[in-house]
Amino acid sequence: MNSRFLSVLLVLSSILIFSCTDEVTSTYSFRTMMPVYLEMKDVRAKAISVAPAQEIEEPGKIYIYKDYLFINEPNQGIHIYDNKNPANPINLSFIPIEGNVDLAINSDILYADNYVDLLAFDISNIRSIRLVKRVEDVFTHLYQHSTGKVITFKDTVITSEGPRWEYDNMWLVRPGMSLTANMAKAAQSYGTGGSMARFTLMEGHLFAVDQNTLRVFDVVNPAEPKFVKPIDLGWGIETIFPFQQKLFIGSNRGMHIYDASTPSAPTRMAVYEHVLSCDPVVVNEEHAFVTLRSGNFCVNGVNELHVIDIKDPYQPKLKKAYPMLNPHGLGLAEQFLYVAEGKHGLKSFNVKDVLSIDKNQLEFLPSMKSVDLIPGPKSLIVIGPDGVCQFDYSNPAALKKLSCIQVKDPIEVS
Amino acid sequence: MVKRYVWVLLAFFGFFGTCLGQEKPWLKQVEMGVLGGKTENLWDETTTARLGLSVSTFFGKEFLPKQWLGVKLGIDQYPSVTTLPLGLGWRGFLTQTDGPRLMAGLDLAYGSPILEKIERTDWSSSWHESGIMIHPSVGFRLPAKKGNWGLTASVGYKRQPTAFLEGTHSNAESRPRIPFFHTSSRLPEGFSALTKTATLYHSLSIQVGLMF
Repeated sequence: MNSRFLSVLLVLSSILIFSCTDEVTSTYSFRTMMPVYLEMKDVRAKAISVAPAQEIEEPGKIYIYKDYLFINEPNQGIHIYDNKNPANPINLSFIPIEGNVDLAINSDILYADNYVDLLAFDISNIRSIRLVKRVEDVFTHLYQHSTGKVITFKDTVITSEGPRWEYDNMWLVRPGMSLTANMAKAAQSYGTGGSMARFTLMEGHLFAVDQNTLRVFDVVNPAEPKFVKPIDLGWGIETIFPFQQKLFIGSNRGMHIYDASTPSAPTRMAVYEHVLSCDPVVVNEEHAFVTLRSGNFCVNGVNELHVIDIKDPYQPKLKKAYPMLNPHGLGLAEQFLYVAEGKHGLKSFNVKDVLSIDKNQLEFLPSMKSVDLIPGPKSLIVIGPDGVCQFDYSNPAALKKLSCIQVKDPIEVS
Repeated sequence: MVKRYVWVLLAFFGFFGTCLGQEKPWLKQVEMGVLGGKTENLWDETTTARLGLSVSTFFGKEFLPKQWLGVKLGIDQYPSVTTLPLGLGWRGFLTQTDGPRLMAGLDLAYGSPILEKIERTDWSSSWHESGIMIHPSVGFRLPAKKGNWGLTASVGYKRQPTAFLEGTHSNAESRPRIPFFHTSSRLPEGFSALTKTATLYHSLSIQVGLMF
């Protein structure tokens, strides 16, 4: 080996060491809500035609009607399943409806929101569903007043070149805290006994709630819904539950009771107030059952089941509060109460003696993560991260799983 | 961390010990040296020189005259991460004399960041990722006066992609799974935000070693 070779090596080394500069890049990806502005005339111009069956990506609200199961895909539309056999629900078709988060069915007429409009579909022939009526400009809270356009938000992941500190002023949103997710979660089921609905039917009228308004529609002629009037409820309205000519409206501040004996003009009877919390409601003749939970915007840290005496609906009184794990939706069937405990599972109770519900827990399925449920005529329908599952609940102490409809993008249980 | 290093050293010298017991046409090499380069500081876009240790072993079989193919194991130290390259290596001699011999090498290995700890809290996780290391080199072998071994010296270029990731959990109550590789623009499941600082290290390697 000679010194010439060593010299070459040294020169090479010098060149390399001064030319080797590392490449450093920083990317910051975050989930945020991107505003999407829509002209309603463009939305209305699109023909709505029923599409073939599609896989569910993210289940929203559920509605049972006759032998059919209607599953809302938030802001996308409605899946229709033949549920004659709850052990084997058959995916039939999909109605694409932009901006849809809720639904209700009355005498073969399906009502669904389409951003600011209410649509009515004739579903008497499930294989030939037709749009029969559009009531325009009723859910006006979605309008952005300055432009007259509909503003909606899209859950979006943005990836930006540049380090994180350059983006710290942006609004970071946990998926469970997004508006879409909350609207979907707050409206994840509906039906007789459903607790988290924003649409409900009673006495020939459709009642729809948004964050602060109750809207009343006359549907005496089901195919010709007519908007009657809006009623201001105050901020934080989440759910609506009808029972014996009364409307029980859950808000994050408490439970409103409205007399709907004159359904076109419901009047407030009372408000039962509690700490800031998320609280779906179900009721029977004497009691209202309200779950309060922490998580998302419900930040108080309280996880409880409240039993409220409503014998005198003008003076609702707390009868007893029970600690729970993280209760979401709930359902009442006769004397049995079913509670979706979020990631903690599914519970059933005998609530005949409302003062000792904790001593009458019948079933606890920790593996069945759930956010809402409906005690239906054939099965208990439970929405959880695994999809939409159905249980034989003929024995509330031994719930038996019948089937599960798998979803592409399971909802996140917080 | 210390425990992991002990395991690595045991594996390293176990591997080396195996090499020593082999006969021709097997080739064994142990090298130690430095990795040098310049790294950019994202805060003020200045560059600073860096220097890290590099230790490696090669164990190969002659598959063509004067050419050996085998496995490569090593430890490389960079400012942000220590990697364990594990992969394939090639060695070739350009001259065949009894004296000093010119040689070249090429290593391709996955530079595992296994020695780096994954930090987890209820709200966030941080971890390291890395990719395929490429290391071409040239050098020479000086034979020993006695025995069938020699000293080697080489200079080369080493390319090692690495990344440091810090993610915010979507839900404080459940810790999401850490992905093995995060290459897509989507957030990994269970994360609401992710900062990825990717560093592609371009290093000059200068190494000396023993060859058997």
